[in-house]
Amino acid sequence: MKCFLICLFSLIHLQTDAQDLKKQSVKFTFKNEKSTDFSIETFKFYVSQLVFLKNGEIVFEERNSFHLIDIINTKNQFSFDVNESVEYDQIQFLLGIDSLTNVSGALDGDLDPTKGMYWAWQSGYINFKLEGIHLDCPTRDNKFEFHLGGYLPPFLAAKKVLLNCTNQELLQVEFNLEAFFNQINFETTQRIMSPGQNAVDLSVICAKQFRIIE
Amino acid sequence: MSKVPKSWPKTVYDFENNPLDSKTIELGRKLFYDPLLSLDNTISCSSCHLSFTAFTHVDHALSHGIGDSIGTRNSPVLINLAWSKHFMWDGAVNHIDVQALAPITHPSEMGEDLENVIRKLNQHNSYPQLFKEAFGSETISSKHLLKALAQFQLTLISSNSKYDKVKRKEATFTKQEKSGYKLFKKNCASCHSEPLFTTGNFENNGLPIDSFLKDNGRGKITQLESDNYKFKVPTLRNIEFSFPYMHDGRFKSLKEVLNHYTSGINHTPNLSPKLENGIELTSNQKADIIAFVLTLTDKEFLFNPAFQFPRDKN
Repeated sequence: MKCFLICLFSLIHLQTDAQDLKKQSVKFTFKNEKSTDFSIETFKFYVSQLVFLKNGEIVFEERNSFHLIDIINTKNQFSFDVNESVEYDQIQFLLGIDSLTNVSGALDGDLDPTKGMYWAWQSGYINFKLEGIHLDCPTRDNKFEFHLGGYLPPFLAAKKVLLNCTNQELLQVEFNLEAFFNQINFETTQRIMSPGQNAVDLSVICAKQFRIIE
Repeated sequence: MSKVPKSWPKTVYDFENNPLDSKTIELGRKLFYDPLLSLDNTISCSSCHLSFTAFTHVDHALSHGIGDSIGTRNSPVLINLAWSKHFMWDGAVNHIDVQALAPITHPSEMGEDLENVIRKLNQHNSYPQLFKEAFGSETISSKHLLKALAQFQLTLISSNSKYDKVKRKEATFTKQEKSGYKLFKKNCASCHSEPLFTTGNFENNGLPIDSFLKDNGRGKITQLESDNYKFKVPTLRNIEFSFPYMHDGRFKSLKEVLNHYTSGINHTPNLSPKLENGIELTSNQKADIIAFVLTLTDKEFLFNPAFQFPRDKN
């Protein structure tokens, strides 16, 4: 017996009716309480290598686990089969694309380079792309652009996200945008567009902004 | 596919899981010669990679693209790419399948958007059918576009030069070529290793840094200071036809190249330890080495009709 699991990424106001689905769901949201200070034009990231754990042991592993989440265009959910008897207390995913996949040539689906998440001038996936306007940015039109990626050591930008949770009907995962912005000094950091230490540092911060809403 | 000598190393490209297919190669060849891949339909891959000149851009130090815009590097030869681990002078591209993305989207090369290329191909009167024949699907995807271009380029194997024939005991070197070969093995082969005539590694060969281009090569890709000013060691196969030389095409002749190694080495950061003291060669020895590297010319490769513009196709 298998049940259907939906991972849903969404803006905070976009709610999914769990009753409607009658299935387990994971939902990703933003926490956005100071919406007047900024606006978001692009917010895309890869979620890959999704696993469920119980007492630290992997109890479920999604096969072919590569998902491009595009918040602005509400491509914010994906589904896969999972045995309903699976019990878990943590979920873990990679925020980005692993190094091996980065050197595997032309791929399709969510990994298709037409998705705007692949650097043509230098092979490699953009793990996390956030573009918008923040009033603290001393740039033209207050714009910021973060394209985070890089698969070559020592600048590996894909970071694991491990979240505690309980077996429940609806799992909501939140990205706390406000907390993320609070850790960025927009006076000095408005644009990261290539692999390197800056991309790694910001990727570490990004990966810490996810949490499960109980 | 040309005959590959059995003694050659294993290819980097995984042919077992990506076998070459004649329909796909033909499609790749058509695409390689089609300026449709560029923004204004003027520049094709072959604009900078001509078959008669070992698939490089003859006569141009720096290659140029759409609207007469000029790039920052000399277009590299396309030879024996199945053995390449990295592509581009700085190894920016890690797999031949994704190599074409760089020139297609570079503003100074083809300046096009990948999605738009796919759109143009899907609306074309013959490509959907050709893609169907090659991949079984009429809907053209970027993966199939890239795979087709890669397959054609993987067929560009040069292994029938005089050097190869001598190795197969089908020909003999002249006295001068023999002397040049001996000198080559002593002085050049640690980077330009047989049989591919490159290690594929990145080295700083002591070129003075161009104050205009300020190109730090591999360092830009890895963001490591220890990689600054390193560029990929190019193959010397068909070097007779691939001038001008070096990543920025600064040398027009092989003589200039050898003079650089004997008396032009600059001690810039990360200079290859092998070049610390330069290379000592008399002018006669230089002439002998040049005689030897000219035996790497493979006319069957350079004038292979299967590599040229597909005239018999629509």
